Amino acid sequence: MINLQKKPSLLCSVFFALSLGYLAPAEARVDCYTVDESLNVSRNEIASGGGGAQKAFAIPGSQSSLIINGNVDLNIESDIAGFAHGIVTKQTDFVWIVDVYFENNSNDYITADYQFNGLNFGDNKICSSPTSCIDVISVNRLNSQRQTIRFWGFPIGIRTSESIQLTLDLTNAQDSGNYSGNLQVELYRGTDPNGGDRRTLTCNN
Amino acid sequence: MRFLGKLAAVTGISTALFATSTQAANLDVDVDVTIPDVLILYAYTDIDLDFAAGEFAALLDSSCTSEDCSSAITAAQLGSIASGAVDLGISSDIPTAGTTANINIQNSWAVRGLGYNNFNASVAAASGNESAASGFTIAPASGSLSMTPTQGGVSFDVDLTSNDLDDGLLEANYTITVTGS
Repeated sequence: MINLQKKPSLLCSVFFALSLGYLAPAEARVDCYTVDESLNVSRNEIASGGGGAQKAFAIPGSQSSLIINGNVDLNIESDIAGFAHGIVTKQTDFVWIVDVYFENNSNDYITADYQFNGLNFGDNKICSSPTSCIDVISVNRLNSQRQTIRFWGFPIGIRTSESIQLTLDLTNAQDSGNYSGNLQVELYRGTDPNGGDRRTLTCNN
Repeated sequence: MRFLGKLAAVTGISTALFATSTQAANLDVDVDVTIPDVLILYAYTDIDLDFAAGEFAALLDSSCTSEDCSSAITAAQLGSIASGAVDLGISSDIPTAGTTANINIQNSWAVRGLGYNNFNASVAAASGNESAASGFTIAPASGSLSMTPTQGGVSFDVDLTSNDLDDGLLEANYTITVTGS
């Protein structure tokens, strides 16, 4: 009984898929999805050396100077710059997924441009308030994954997804707690994994 | 789950057949970042200081501009020679020597932070500090806190009459403490 039930179903599906390929060979459906990101910055990422809230850093090396009129200026600021505390790099999971179904030209690749925009506080910012923002120094592709979508073993499309790496500057941040930003992703299709001819992609969903 | 997967795929195929509307491929991703409270104190831990030429002698006698200096006492001296000798008693005319020097080490520590509005700083003599160095103070002792570093200094008094200076070296050890609030 089981075999009798399975066999017609499988045959119907094959027929269905083949018919679809014949009837609409050039009609690709493109579904685009985003995945919202929630990132936690640890104290260790802001300043390495333990997880405590209040950290002390000894600046190594002997400081030699002359006392003039009872004063000596060691200008510690120039040495603090070397610590680069407040520059944080975070990696995300996949932030977008694009499914392209039934496309003749399966050699196209999907790529994206990224931009943190607005929210009234200016571009490339992630803010908790108008006076406390994280500056986004860079958004880089981290991992782009391309895999075949199959239906009962038959290839019916390509799924592309991508994760990113953010470099954040906390120098202008004031508050602890939650910061929110809007990452605009502009998708293209092109002839190679680096963008190629970068044709505008449209989504059906 | 397998059934649901097939159902989803069938749905995808069906919509592929009938979908006609399109949208430009601009997508928005909400990115939330959570930042902890953090306060970071920076400080030099090995500072070797020398007095500039004439600096130390000037602490002892304000008319000196070099370590080996001459200081003329210009007032006319009168005396009576008795048995071929005369005592002018110069010690009474020597200017009073300075006994204390204040040393101010500017911009020798800094603090920055996130999530705290203010900081409080203090300094105290630490183990190994020689008694000739005393009266440690810190500035600023408080202030507002941000990720832009706020620099500060430490000052202390040196007892110029102390035996600690006999070897030509004075060791001043101190501990800086900064807390956020």
